[in-house]
Amino acid sequence: MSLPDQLESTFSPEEIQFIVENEPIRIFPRVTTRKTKRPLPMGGGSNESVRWKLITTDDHNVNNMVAMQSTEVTLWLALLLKQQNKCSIVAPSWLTLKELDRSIQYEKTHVDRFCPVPWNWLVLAQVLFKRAPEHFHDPVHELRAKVQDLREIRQLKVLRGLRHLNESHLQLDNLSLLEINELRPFIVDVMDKLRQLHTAKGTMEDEEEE
Amino acid sequence: MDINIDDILADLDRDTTAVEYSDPSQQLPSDGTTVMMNSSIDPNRYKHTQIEISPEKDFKQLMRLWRNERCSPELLPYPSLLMSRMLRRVQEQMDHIENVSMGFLEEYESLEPAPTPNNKLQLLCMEAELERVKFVIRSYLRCRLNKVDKYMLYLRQLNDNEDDPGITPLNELLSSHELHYHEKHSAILLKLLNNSIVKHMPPELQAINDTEGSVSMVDEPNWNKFVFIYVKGIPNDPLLEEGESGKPCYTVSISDLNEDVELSIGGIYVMPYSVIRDLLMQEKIELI
Amino acid sequence: MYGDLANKLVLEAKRTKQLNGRNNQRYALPMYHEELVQGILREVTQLKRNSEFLKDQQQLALVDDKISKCQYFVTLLCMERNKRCLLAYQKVRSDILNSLAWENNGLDIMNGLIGAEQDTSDLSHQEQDYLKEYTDLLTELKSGDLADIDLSGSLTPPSDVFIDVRVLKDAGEIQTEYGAFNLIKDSQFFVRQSDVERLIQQGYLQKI
Repeated sequence: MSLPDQLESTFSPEEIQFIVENEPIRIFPRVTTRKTKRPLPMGGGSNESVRWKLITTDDHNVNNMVAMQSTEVTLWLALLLKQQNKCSIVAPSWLTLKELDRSIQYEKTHVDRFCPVPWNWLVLAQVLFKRAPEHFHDPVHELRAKVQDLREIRQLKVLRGLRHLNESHLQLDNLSLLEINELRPFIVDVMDKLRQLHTAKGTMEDEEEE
Repeated sequence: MDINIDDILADLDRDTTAVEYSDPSQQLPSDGTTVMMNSSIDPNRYKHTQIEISPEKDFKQLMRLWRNERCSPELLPYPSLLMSRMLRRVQEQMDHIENVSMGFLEEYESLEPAPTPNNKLQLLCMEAELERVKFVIRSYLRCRLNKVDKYMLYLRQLNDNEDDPGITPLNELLSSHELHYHEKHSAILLKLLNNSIVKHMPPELQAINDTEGSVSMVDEPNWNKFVFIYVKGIPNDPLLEEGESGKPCYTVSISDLNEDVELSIGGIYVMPYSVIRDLLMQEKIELI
Repeated sequence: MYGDLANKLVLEAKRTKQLNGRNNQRYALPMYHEELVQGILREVTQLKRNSEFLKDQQQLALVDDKISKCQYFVTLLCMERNKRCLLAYQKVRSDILNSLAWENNGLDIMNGLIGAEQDTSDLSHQEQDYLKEYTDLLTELKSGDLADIDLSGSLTPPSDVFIDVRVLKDAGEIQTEYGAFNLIKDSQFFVRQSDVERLIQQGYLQKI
């Protein structure tokens, strides 16, 4: 078929990362793209470059980069610039040992809800650990461990919640994209089955009444 | 710059969401954006609406549509104008990249000012972006073709029920490519089935779209399939109510269970598709 | 017993589906069961004769009404079931042909090129026709407005525009915008991913 079976029911992990890569992130450029107001009379040509033209995102920021002045670009662009050694990426404020500890505490004290971490927290953490590990203030191995702890607590909560699956609906506020994607096949299957059983039960009762 | 008649025509497209409530404080958008004051469309609903189309918004919309399509059991309507804008931009960007890279090659060969590092970097980024756009369009179209195949007979029947106002006609649901593909693929598949099986059957057993009997031969979307939704909401929506938690919400009812469910803005839910279908079509929720 | 052959065919279809359902596996069809299909078609003809006989008998009221009605009904069900099994078998196979057409960019199998792992002799004549027509349809679809998009290209999101690749099999010289590359086994290149997508799919190159 035109779409492989495994992509029919859910997204691949690569696709999830792709979605997250379209989100903005703060960077410190190491290059300047902003044009000087008055072009230098001669010899300014070496710094002359064509305007960046982008078709998926506002290209104002990339055309106005000034070395060491923070700006915001989409993540894929930041990763590319980083790969070429043209910027450093600013780790998001929630991705520090202190903030992660706070989130873990929240998960522990609130048994019936998820901590409001960003919807892309897990993917973003994984990507940044891999591609920009030197840009964190805290040691990356400790951050990694904390992220893993947080992930496990949340997973446990989800597993405990599964007993409440029903044929009607489910509310899962603050669950992140990757977490949803991992749970999707199971939850959808079970709820579809429960609904079938419920419908069958209804039909049987109707027949008995007749 | 980017302004041409297509964009202006596209402004009238009912399937773009580029309709925004005017905000005088909003500054004019940067280059590549078409702005048009428009009060001619349905003046009762949108007085002085500012319609704005930008590459950025279009791409966001395409990402939403791609995700919705992947998650929904049925085939969703084809966004013709959005797609023609996207395809045009891809084409233009390919030309642009070629020009920049050719210019850069010429400079290089003539040993004039050495190629600037920024140009190289810029090309790399533009190429990367182009691949990303192409990927989404490709994946989106392939997902749609998959559904065109899966519901081949069902879609043919839609065409037969043209008079029913509740049904989107096939030529609005599908693009012209998809229509052509659907028609041709049906023809060759039916030919295969006919030559290898059906024509050897007794006449009364030659139907391939029998919906009577034990199992229907026409696959229809599973309208009650559970889907994950994110409740986005639209500003000043009169349908929003104050929910139990005090947050604005939409109320939907699951009719066969006799249950009402409040969908709070910002919330994530797992719901049967049929229950949230209207909200999806009105772009008040997204499938995730 | 009536229906046994059809059952065999459906089991065969199920096996085929399971073989092709695994992740990252190339699509392939086993031999078309011509004999089995013909056997089932003969069975349908036989059943049809039986049903007409039973109908005649009913009209002549020669036998007990209830029994013959029941016999008649079961005969019809058997025919219907045979038909559905045949169609299911063919549909499973045509679905895999579709996947093959997409995956191999269509043309390879028909041209018997290397990289095409499907043996055309495993397909029935009708299936060969179908594959050719479907491939033509895809070629048509991919040209025109959608040519830039490369519809049969990779469905894995692009991660890096330029990648390092290692050559697994000699593949001769390729031309790209960034110059010509002579692909000799075990050599390595830094190339634009979209230029070599096909060669990776076909197993000539490996991403490092």
